[in-house]
Parts: sequence; structure tokens; C-alpha cells
Amino acid sequence: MHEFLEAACDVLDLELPALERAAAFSQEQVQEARRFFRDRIGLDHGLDIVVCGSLGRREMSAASDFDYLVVAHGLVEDVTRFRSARLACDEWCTRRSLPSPGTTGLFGRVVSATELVEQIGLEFDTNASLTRRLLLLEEGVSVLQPEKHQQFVNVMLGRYLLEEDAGGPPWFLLNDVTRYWRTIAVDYQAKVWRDLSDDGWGLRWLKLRISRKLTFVSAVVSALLVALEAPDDRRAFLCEQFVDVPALARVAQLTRVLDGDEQALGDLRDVLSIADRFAAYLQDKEQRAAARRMRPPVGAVVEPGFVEMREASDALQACLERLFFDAPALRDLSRRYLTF
Amino acid sequence: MTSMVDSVIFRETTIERRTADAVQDELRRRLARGWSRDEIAARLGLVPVGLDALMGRYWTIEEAFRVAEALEIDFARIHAEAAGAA
Repeated sequence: MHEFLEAACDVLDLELPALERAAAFSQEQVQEARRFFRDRIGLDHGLDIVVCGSLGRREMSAASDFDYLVVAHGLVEDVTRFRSARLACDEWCTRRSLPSPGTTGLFGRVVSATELVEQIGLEFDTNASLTRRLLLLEEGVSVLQPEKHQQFVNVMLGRYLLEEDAGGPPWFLLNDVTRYWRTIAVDYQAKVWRDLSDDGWGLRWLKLRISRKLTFVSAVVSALLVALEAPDDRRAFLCEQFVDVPALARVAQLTRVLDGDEQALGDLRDVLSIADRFAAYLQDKEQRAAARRMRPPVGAVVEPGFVEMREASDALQACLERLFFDAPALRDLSRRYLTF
Repeated sequence: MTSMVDSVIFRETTIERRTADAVQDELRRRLARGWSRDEIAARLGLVPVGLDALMGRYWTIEEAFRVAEALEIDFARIHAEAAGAA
């Protein structure tokens, strides 16, 4: 588990056993993957393989997907490299019994690092490019050339911080992070409408209200810390946040700014505890299968495990509202930068 | 981003579910009796942690068949028993 989470556990007198298991499993997967991909496709090219999702957040379970992108840094002279990279990813998934993303969705394809940065907010910044960019930023982990991923994040942050007021949090970044969070929520509703089948609804609903919400919160925390802790080098600070600190560990950093506020520390404790309970829920194949069998509306579901997590997601929302809008350390910044 | 594999369980019959679960249970029993995890993984074309991942989720009927074939588990008998119990 990341040192920020461990430090928070000490401060909050908390144990996070499911997240510890997930972190250990995730780290082992990342290390093995790096050895495998370096051996398969080498390093003498401009490609990186970046994995998002629960592996990137260090919350991986046996049922997690391997959602990868092949990120091209500049022109790659030997075009067969693209196919080699994707074949290597398929082989990895087969050997590890991991579901691969296929080629028709967001992942399992080649993207240009330059385009993802250049088109921020412009007419060709679609839901897909926004999603890929923010996922690469918030939860991406390189399994081939980590220094290239760090460079990509650094350049992206440079774009977000260009011409920004040095005093406050990075507003352009906050706007795009918030835009992505609203996009996820709207996308969920759109798919409920479009898809005639409710297959998998329950798990999608819980993931939206817990893990995806927490990933959004984690990016907000990093941005607000720029204003709260005033690092000398904002770009370097944020680069370290998004490259080296997993999402939940970024949230755990709030212990640094909530010193002495027992109510807020209690809310933070509950947030992390709920995250751990959800990790345990996702590690249980029977619970996952039960959640996938649920059908909307949510109020009609009586399956105990799902009901418990639904109530936990309600509690999470309440804790986050108190943390960001009642806690003296955060409320002024939240009111100014997280609303209008 | 729901797992493509797990989503299959919605479209299977009860007999298929029982069959897949029974094959998985048989493999679990073998592991508990001391069969080599590394050897079983190798016979399935997996690395050992891939076997752990496989055991941590529900299987499709196709996966169950492939596992049964690779490990010489009597798939036909298990399937017949599942059908008889339905």
C-alpha cells in the first residue's frame, strides 16, 4: 500500500485489509508486466503501454480487466511495432486469465500522446479523447516505459498550467477533471437508456457511486493541495501526484490539512473505510455476480450485499459533502473552485 | 467497463452455470488435495497467478470445457449430472 495510505491509517487508527491485498496484487502485476513487455517488444521505440482502471489505482482483483492503451510518443518508424504491442497485450491477458478490452471500445488501441494534449477542449476533444486523457492522468500506470508516461503527464500538466494564476489551484485542470466526472455520470444514464438489456447494471451503478467518484475526488484533492500547500514547483508537484500516488492515496493526503478537525478526520476515516469495504466486495465473486444480476430501479433491490453497498455509497456522498463544504480547511476553496 | 467475461453469465442456462461451477469445484478440490498449482497453471497455459485469477471468478461454460479437457476432468458426466438436477 502507498505510504500516504499507511500514514493515514496511523493517524486515523484504521485498517484497510482489502486495499492492502489489492495493492500487493496490483504491484506484483505491474512488476511482472514490465518484465514481460520489455522482453517481448523491447524499449528502442516511441511506444508505451499504459494500463488504466483498477490496476492503475492499485485496487486490482482477480476479476479486473486489463484496460490498456498503446501510447505513441511521436512518429514510430516501424509501424509493425503497433501490432506487436497489441499482440503482446493479448498474450499477457491470456496467460494471466485476464479479460482483454477488445478493439471496439475505449481501450486496446493506439493513441497519440501529442493529440491527447493538443486537442484539450477543442472541437475534436470527444468523449473518447477526454476519457482516455483523464484516465491516463488519474489512474494510468506504465507497464513498459514509465519515464515516457511521466513525460506525457508532465507535458499534459504543462498545458493545463499555462497562463494560470500562481496563487490558486489549477483551475483549467479542475474544470477538465470535473467535466470528465460529469461526463461519466451522463454516460451512465445514456447507456441505461440506450441498452435494452440491464446486464451488469448493479455493478456499474456501484462503481459509479464509489470507485469512480473517489477517483474524481482524488484529482480534486491534488489540485486543491496546490493552493493549500503552495509547492515551489506546481507542475513538478502535480506530476508526482498523478504519476507516483494512486488515487486513494491522494485522497488520504487530506490528513495533512485536516489536523485537529476531529469531525473532518472522522469523515475521512469513513471514506477510506468505505473504499476498503467496496474493494472487499469486488474481490468476492459471489457478491460481484449478485450485483450484476440486480435490475433497476435501485430502490427495488433487496439483496443484502447490494443494499449494504448502496447504503455505503450514500454514506460516502454525505462524508464527501461534509469534508469539502463544511470542514474549515477546505470549504472556502471548494465553494470557489468546485461550484460555478 | 464491465468485464466482458463476467457479463456472459447473464445469458447462460442453469445447467451451464451448474456445470461450470462443478468443474471449478473439482479443480478447487484437486488443489486442496495438493495438486501442483504451477503444474495445473502450465497445463492451462497460464502463469500461476493467472490460475488464481481464474479461480477468483465465475467461468463460462466454454472455459469450463477447456479446463476440463486440459485436466482430464469428466466434463460429460458433470454436465449430465447438472442436467439431471435441473
